[in-house]
Amino acid sequence: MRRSAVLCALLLASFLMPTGAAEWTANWSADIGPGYITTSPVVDEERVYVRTSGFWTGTERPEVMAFSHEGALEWTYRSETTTQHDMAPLLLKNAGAGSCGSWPDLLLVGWANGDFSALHPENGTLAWNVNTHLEGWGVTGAPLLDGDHVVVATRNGMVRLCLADGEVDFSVNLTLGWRNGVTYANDRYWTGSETGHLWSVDAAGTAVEAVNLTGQLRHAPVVLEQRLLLHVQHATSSTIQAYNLTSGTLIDVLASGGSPAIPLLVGDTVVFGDNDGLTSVRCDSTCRVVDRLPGKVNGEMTSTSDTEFFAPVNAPGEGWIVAEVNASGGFAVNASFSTPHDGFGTSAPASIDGWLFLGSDAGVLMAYATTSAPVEAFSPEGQNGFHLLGMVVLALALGGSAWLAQGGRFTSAWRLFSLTLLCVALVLLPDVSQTWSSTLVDDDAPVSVEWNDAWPDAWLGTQVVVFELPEGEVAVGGMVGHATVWSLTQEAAQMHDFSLNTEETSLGLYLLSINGTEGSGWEYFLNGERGALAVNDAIIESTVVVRWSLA
Amino acid sequence: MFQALGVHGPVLTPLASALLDITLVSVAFAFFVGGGRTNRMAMGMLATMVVAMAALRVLMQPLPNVQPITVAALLVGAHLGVRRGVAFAILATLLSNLLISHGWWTLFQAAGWSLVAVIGARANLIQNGELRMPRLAVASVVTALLFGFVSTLSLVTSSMTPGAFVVLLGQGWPFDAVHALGNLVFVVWMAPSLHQFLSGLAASETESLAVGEVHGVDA
Repeated sequence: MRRSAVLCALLLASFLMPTGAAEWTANWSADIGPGYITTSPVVDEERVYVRTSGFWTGTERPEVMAFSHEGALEWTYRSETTTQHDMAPLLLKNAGAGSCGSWPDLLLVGWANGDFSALHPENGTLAWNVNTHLEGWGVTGAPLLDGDHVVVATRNGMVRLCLADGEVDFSVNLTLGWRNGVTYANDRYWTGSETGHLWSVDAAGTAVEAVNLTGQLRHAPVVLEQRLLLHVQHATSSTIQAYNLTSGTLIDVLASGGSPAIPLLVGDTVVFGDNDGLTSVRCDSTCRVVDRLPGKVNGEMTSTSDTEFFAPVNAPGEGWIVAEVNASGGFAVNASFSTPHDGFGTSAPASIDGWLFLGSDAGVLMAYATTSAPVEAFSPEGQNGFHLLGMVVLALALGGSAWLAQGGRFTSAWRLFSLTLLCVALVLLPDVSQTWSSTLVDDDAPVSVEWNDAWPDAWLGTQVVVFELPEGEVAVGGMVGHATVWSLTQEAAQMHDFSLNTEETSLGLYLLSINGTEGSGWEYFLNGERGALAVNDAIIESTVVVRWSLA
Repeated sequence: MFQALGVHGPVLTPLASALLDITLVSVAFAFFVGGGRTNRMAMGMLATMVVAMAALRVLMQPLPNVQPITVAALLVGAHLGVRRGVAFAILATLLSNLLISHGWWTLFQAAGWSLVAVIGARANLIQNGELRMPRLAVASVVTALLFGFVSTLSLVTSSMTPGAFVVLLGQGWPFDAVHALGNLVFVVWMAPSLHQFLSGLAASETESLAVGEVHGVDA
């Protein structure tokens, strides 16, 4: 009896023990409406600014919103013309003056329709706006502040704009880019492309050289010790490369996982993320890998101190990895940060003066504070209470079994115990099944297998869906931001007003018909490989071709 | 694959579906009434059990892969033999699938539970009139996995590679585990009552035969 009681007590304690220390306390949250948060919020002394992303139909449109640190919505700015997923990072610029004029405080926003806007942070009104090239996509990468100018990587090149009024200082055509940020080094601006080029542009706006990379570059190069650190993306993998600015040589540092994140400079260490996890690199005479941490990091990372950084885990409900880079460049601390609204995540938090602001694909902006800030009633929607009730019921059931057994009523004890075990198994089954299925299936087939040269270049590096209907093949491309086959298929179908009929089964969602065509069933292929998971469980990469065929 | 052929396998034409149903029903009734004299009351009680288990399966359908028929098939096989066990399995499957979802997979589910009934008949689950609970518990777990394998066969296509089938099988293991756990629950909760019921059923058949023999001798 005592042993049973001790066992039950330990079991209960293990469930109720806090999972990791938390120096941040939840303060407030705000549902930002339609869309999701795919890029980090930015913050100044007064406000936090966040943008929504999505594919917009009907009357809904993406917005940039400003909240006070305490959670009051102060203004929203709505783009009436952009419809694609907006992902360019926001950028704040303090008021100043330069050779091309003076400017107030500005919030700089790049849009997927090619617009580049400067807003007044205090009220969200438009200071100026510049249209850049649109080819399926517009501005998708991080701009660069350069004195009294801002340098923006456009869809097909680069522009430099005066902060005072947006006047174009230069505009140069390069090759197609996507998520192509800009870096300044050795008196040149550097940006990547989808065509495997690392472009350098001089101050006059002349393209000086193009370094041939082995894949796509979708981030601003990171400068370290006279080198540009690059995380080059391939179909299902990536390569960390270092371009020597002095000698002009390009070397491979490490072959790594697919879907690289935007690298982060932490002191003398560059942190890279991808489907394999985190990698730290340092450079002296050569660039070398210092440490690795397994995981799945595909988006933006951000530093919250000189050594600590947050990295979003791009898996449902996984939150963020919180790690520190130690003196030798290794990862010293490994913890996780989780919120009640964890979904797929590619954005990093913003922090200032004891505040931490973050969002994810769940479309909720959350604010955390250190202990000095007042804590309002956080609304976890009853989740914490439900979990606690479940743990209490479980403990009572197990305790009851032990008590019955102690009283010699073994049949009743076994009945209660087995029923409890079955209930727990049923609760855990969806997550266990999904995780187990994902480990069994390798869906990293090369996207090049399915690419059709007749498709527009604007679809390069995006998510494409092909419907093989009886009346003909319909291809939809240029989509981004979708994490599952189902989500992507829904958007693709919506673009052509195709109806989708589904059935919920114990193994997940099953697609019965597309545009009224049922046949003997539909099957899907990811980059040429037959899919093995339910459509709502099948995770897809940022570059993928999903093909729907009648069985 | 799972999405390719639908949740359960190929879609049958109405004629094929009807033929399948007729075949299964015919086989079930042949086993049900065959094998010597049959007591009408026993048949009625067994039919009641078919209906009851089918209804229980329908009621438990929201709980993924919790299948009361598996333990029932084991016990029917143990008490009434292979033929009645197989008949029970087929009829319970048909009846419950008519309400849940009926198609190509019904054949495999019926085959799977028939196999379970055969195992129940051969596993020596009853000794001296007493139900051997530990042995029944082990049999219920093993038959859950076996049933999972047989029912997964309904998804096999001509283009499926062995590797793909193994992956498909593996994807079902969490559900098979729930099936096995559910069987253990049914063993603990239902088995003694079912054993008592089926023992009476078996006994009534034996008495009727004994009476018949006496009359035959008299005649």
